[in-house]
Amino acid sequence: MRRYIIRRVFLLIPTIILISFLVFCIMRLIPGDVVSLMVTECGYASDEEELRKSLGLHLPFHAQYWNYLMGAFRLDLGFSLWSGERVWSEIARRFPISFELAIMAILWTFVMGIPVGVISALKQDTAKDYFLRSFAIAGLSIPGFWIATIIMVFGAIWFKWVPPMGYIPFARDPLRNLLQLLVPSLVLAVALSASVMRMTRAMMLEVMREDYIRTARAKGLSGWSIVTRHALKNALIPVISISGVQLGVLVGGTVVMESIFVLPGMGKFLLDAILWRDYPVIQGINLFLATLIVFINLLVDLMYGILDPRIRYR
Amino acid sequence: MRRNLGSFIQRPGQELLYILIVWVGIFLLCPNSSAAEKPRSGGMLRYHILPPRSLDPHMEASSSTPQIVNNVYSQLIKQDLDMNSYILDLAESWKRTDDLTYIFKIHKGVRFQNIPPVNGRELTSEDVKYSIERLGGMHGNKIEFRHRYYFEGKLASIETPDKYTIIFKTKAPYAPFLNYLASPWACIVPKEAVENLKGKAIGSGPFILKEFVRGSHALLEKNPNYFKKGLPYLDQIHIKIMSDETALLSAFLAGELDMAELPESKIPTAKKEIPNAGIVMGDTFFMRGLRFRPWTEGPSPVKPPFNDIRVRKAICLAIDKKKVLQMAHEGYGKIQVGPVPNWPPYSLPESDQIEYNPKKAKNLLTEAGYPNGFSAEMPTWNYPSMNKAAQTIQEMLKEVGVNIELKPMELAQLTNLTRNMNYDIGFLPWASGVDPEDFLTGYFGNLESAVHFKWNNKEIIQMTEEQSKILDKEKRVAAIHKIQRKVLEDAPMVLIYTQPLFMVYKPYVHPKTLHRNGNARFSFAEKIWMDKR
Repeated sequence: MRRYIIRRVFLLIPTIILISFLVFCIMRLIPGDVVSLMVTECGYASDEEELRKSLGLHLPFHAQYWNYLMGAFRLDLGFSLWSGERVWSEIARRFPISFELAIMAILWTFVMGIPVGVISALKQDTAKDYFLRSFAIAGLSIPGFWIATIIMVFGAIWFKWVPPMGYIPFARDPLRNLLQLLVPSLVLAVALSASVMRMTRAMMLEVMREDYIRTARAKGLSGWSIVTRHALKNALIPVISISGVQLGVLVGGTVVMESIFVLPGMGKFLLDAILWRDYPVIQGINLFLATLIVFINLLVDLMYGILDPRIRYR
Repeated sequence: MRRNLGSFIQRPGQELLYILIVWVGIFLLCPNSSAAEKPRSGGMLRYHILPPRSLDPHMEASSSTPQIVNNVYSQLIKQDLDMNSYILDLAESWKRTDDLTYIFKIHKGVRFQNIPPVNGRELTSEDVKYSIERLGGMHGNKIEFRHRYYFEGKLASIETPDKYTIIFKTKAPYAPFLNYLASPWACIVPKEAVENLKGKAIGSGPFILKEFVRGSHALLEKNPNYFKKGLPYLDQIHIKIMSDETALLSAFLAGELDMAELPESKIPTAKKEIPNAGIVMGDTFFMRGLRFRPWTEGPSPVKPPFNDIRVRKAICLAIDKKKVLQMAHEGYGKIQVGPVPNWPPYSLPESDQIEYNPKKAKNLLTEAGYPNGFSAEMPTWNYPSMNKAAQTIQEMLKEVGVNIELKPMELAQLTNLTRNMNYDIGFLPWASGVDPEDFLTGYFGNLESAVHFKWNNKEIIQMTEEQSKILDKEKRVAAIHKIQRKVLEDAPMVLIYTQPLFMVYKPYVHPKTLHRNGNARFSFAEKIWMDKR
């Protein structure tokens, strides 16, 4: 196992270098550049070259990339071209918000998706099963931003209520912090729990047909005991692995929820940086997210081995 | 026994006394209709802005920044709501002694906020001098200062003969000088704090910036040592950083915001749910229009077919501006005539408007050798209201035989395209400004200083340079009108409309006003008060 972990950590390095290179290239390939934007705002035509030099954007492509990569290895992701803030400080401030939102969404996903999937599997081909599956399809089909908008608008019109706005850190006011993230995390969980529900159902159906389950029934174990102690553990292995991957995607992919619910997370920050061509911020966040997802994948793979003793790492 | 009123009046003069008592009683018992309008102190106002990139007023150009910093810093003078006169702020008085000299006297005893590194020290003329020099790019790396064109190369000197007097001397008569001094960006900053101004604001204004969390909010608290006694009325302002329009409307309806800037599509819902909400529609400088490819060199502007003035004029005649505004903003906003938008007396009167005449447009195209029209690509900003307007324009031009292929793009891409002048005709946004100079020199001035557009008409270039030297307002207005008429003759662009700005207020927020300059729409928070705490 140790060798496996070390090997995976070492493989991280070329993966991150490749991702950083791809992001670096893509940002410079898309039309529109930061200097044009800066100069257009009340600037002077003659400023363009000077501005490009002061931002280090006059260097050849490979020199810019090399400087960036060396900085990244020193954990220096540079400064925002617009605000002058350190990229690391911004990530450090925003990441906990996105991470907390993602964790809550995953927890709700488990709370909503797994029991529903189990019930659906145990009541296969009954009215309950059809209803729950339809519900899951609806959850997958209806866009999360639509649900969020409906909650906001009708909550305001009918009940004169919106979720608390203006982020309060957990340490300052835990209750308000959780209330603030409650609704957006639930909205995110709707679609996620639908796929978890479907996967749980499918895995439960497969596991419940296994010989050892039939043996357990023959031994006289109760239905509840069979489901929770024998079937569910095996059925949840792929569910957990998928949820781990979803967590990584969620951290950077909650732009819409952050906009609608006024949360200063990574997603909205990344979107604004793309619109303003703030290269160091875009590169820094992408690098951070890529590293995070790679680590999460590693943890998920390791957890696989813990959950399923048949799996051995070499 | 009947008694009459006369029996109560025993002595002369008593009659008068009784009348007086009755009138005093009426006065005391009847509600004073102006009592509700008297400002009350206290309370926290909740407002919103888009995310500001930085808080440095001299370096930044995004409109969110002044909405915070204009309430933390002072300025010498500010433009009034209509931008046709000045309000004294830090300046106690000012006068122009000749064509080149302006003398300002500032209030004595004005102090910066009591936080490090200024620690409440007095604001003096040296701070004003430093700030204006800094705004003009004379301190630090000048390319970082986006408004340095205000004063760069224009000021001969700034003298400070004593702690409360500043004497500005311009190199030549400079008409925009006062408007630039009154610009929302011309804040007086402390020299010792400039290293951190991107993330902090330390000024002498009515509010102290207590907290600024990027992407989340800014919290302003009343400055107890503000030099204007009795102001500000509010104890606190909580500015949420929000961009989603639905979230804004919901927050306003649910009572999370006391005033909000909403698009016109959300106004009916706001009005229906809160019937006594105050709704103010402001004219803005956010102009939209068609521009042909800039004319940068040579005797003939641009490339065929737009090098032919008949083609350009035909396109002007083919646009029904009212209908475009109707489609883009449900008719709200203002139709424009000339390059200076929406700003009487500088903007052209309606009598100069180019008529909508598609028949004449077709005839002109035929004369120019395009009886069957032609095709062209039209880049535009991929923004909802602009997309609607662009599609309407596309339909109108199709009627006269000009087939337009729309190319909606995001702002950064569009900016790149326009800076490289890589388009033949574009439906584009205009930049805002604080002086007519901003709408003229940046577009029609000499080719080096024209940043947003270039038009190599020597006569217009000359006239543009001359107007900035005319200090007499009436004469300057006449000169600016002449430039605009000349521009309309050349038809380098079709000025279509300025988009509206709606501010909705809860009934208890006063006053309900809006500044003509969108960048300064929250610059007078010291005067805002609320009926409720």
